[in-house]
Amino acid sequence: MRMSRTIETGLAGASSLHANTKKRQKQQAVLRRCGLLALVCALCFLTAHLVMLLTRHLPFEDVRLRTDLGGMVIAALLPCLVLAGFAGLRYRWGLMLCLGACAAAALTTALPL
Amino acid sequence: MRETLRVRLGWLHSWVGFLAGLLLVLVFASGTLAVFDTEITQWMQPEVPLTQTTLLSPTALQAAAETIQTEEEQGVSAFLSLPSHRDPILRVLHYDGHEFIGAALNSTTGAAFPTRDTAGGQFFYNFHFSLRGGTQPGAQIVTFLGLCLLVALGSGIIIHLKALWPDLVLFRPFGPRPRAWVDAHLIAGVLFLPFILFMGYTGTAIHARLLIPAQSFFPSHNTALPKKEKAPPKGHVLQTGPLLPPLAPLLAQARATLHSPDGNLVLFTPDEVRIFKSDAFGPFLTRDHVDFSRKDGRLLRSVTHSPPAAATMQLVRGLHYARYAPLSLRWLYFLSGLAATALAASGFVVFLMKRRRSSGEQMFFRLAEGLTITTLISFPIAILGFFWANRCLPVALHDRMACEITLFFAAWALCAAHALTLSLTRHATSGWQQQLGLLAGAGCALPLLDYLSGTHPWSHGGGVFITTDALGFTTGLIALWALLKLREPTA
Amino acid sequence: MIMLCVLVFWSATFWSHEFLQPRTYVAFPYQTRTRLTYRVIRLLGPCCALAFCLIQSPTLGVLYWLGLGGVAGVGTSLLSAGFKQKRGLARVSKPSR
Repeated sequence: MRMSRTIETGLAGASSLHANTKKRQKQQAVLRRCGLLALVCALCFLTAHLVMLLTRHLPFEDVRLRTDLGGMVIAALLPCLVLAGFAGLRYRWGLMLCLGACAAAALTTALPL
Repeated sequence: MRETLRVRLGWLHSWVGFLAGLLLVLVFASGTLAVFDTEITQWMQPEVPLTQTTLLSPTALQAAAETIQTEEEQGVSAFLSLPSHRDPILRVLHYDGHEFIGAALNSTTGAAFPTRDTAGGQFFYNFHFSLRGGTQPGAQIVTFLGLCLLVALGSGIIIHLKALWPDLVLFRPFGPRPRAWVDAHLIAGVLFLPFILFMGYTGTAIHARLLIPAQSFFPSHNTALPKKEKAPPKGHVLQTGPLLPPLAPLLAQARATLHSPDGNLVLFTPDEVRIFKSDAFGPFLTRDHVDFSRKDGRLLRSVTHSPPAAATMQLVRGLHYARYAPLSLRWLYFLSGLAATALAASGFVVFLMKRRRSSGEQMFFRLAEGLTITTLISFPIAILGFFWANRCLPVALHDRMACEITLFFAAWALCAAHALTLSLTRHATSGWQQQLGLLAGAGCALPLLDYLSGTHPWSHGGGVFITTDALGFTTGLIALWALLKLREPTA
Repeated sequence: MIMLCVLVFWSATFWSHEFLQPRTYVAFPYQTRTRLTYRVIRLLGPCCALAFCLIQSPTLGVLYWLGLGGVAGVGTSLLSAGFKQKRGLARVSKPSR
C-alpha cells in the first residue's frame, strides 16, 4: 500500500512537471509569436508609409488622387505582407520578404527619380 | 505542439479575428443598415409623403435657393439633393460634423414639410465608417480594422484551403454544437467571400490615406509641403456669395450635358454653382459636374471625363458605397452584409466555446464573453432603441436629433453594463437570456409601435414602413428563437 | 424572373456538388449515370447563371451572379442539412431486422 502510494506520488509529480513544462513551452511559443507579429507589423507599416511617400512622385496634379492610389496599393500589400511575414517559417523567408519589401521601398524613396 | 503553418495561422486568425471582430461586427451591422440609409430616413420622417414625382418645378427650385441663401447667411454651407426615384424629395442638406441633414421640400410647391428632427439612416452611415469618432480617430480605427479584417480573411482562407472545395455547402446544424457553429462560420465566410473581400478591400483603400498619411514622419529640408489654404471647417462657409441666379435653366443645361435626368446634387461656392451627375448612373462614382457662374449663371466649364487612374478610384468608391445599385442589388448587398455580421458572430461563439473549458472561466474569458454579449445583443437592442426613440420622442422636442442619438448610446451603455456585470459575476447565461428577451420584445413590438403612432398612411408609399417593420419583427423572432434554444435543458 | 432562374441554377449546382462528395454518396448511394448528370449540372450551372446575369445587366451582372450564388449556397446548405437529417432519422426509425 505504502509502495503504491509512493509510486502514485511519483507519477503525479512527473505528470505535474510535464504539465508545467508543456505550459511553459506554450507560453514561450505564444510570446515568440507575439514578438514576430509585432516585428512584422512594424516592418509592414514602415513599408506602407514609404509607399505612401512614393505617391508624391506620381504624375497627377490632384494630391488626393495620388494618396488614394497609394491607399489602394497599401490595402492590397499590407495584409499580404503581414501574412507572409508571419507564416513564412522556413529560414524565416517571410521576415526576409518583409525586410526586402521595406528596403526596396526605402531605396526607391531615398534615391532621386 | 508542432509549429505548423495551420497552427500559427489558426492562432493569428483566432486572436486578430476576435479582438478586431469586437468592433468589426459593429461596422458590419451598421454598414448593412447603411445600404438602406435613404429608406431608413424615410421611415424616420413619416411626415414626408413618398408619393411625389421626380419632376421639379421652378417655384420649388426658387424656394430651395432662398433656403440655401438663408443658411449661408447663418454660416452654414448647404447644398441641394434633387428628387430621384429612390428619394422623390427635394432636400436642402448640410453637414453637421457627423450627418447630412436638412429641410425636405415639396418638389412642386417648394413648401417645407414639417418633418421631425432626426439623423435617420445617415446615423448608421456615419457610424459605419467612423464609429461616430470623426475622421480622427474614428475613420482611422475603422481603416485599421479593415486591415485586420483582410489579415483574418487571408489566414482563414489558408487554414480552410484543404476543405474549401469539398465542404463548400456543408452544414451540420444537428451535429454537436461546436461543429454546427464552425460550419455556420465557414458557410457565411466562404459563400460570401467575394463580397466580404471586395467590401473589406475597397473600404480600407478608400480611407487608407487617413491611417498612413503621405507626409514624412522624419523631418526633411528638401521636401517642403505645399501651404494649406485657409479653408472653413466642413459644413461651414467663410463668406456668403451673391444672390443665386434662377436655377431651373442651369439645371436643364447641366442635365443635358451630363445625361442625368434626376437625382443630381447642386453645390454652391461664393463664385460658382456646381451641378453634379447623379450617383445612380453606374458603378463609377464619377462626380462629373457642370459649373456655372454664381453672379450671372453663365457656363464656366464641364468636367465629364476622368483619367484611368481616377476612374479606378471612382470604381472602388462606387462599388463600396453602392449608390448606383438598383433595389434588387441593394438587397443582395444587405444580405451579404448580414452574412458578414453572421460570420463575425459565429466566429465569436466558436472562440468562446473553444476556450470555455481550457480557460477555467477566468477573468479574461468572462470579460470576453461580456464584450461578446455587448456587441452581438446589446448593439441590436440599441439600434432598435434608436427606432423606438424616433417614434416615442415628441416631434417638437428641442434638439430632438441629439436626444435620439443620446438614447441610442444610453441604451447600449446600459446593456453593456448589464452584460459585463452578469458575465464577470459568472452569470453570463442570464445575461444572454435577459438581453435576448429584451431584443425579442423590442423587435416584435416595433410594427405595433409604428401602427399605434399613426404617423403615416399605410396605403400610399407604405412599402418602406412595412419592410422596415417586418425586418424589426424578424429580428425579434430570431432573438426569441435563440432565447428558446438557450433555455432548452440540453443547451 | 431572371433572378429566380439564376437562383435555381446556383442551387442546382450546389446541390449537385454536395451529392458528389464522398460523405454524401456513401450515405445516399446512386447510379453512375446520376453521378454524371450531377457533374454536368455542377459544371454548367454557374455558366448558365452567369450568362443570364450578364443578359440582364452587362455592367452589374457579375455582382448579381456572386450575390445570388451566396444566397443560393446558404439556402442549399440548409435544405441539404434538413434533407439529410430527415433521411437519417427515417433510417434510424426503421425497425432493424
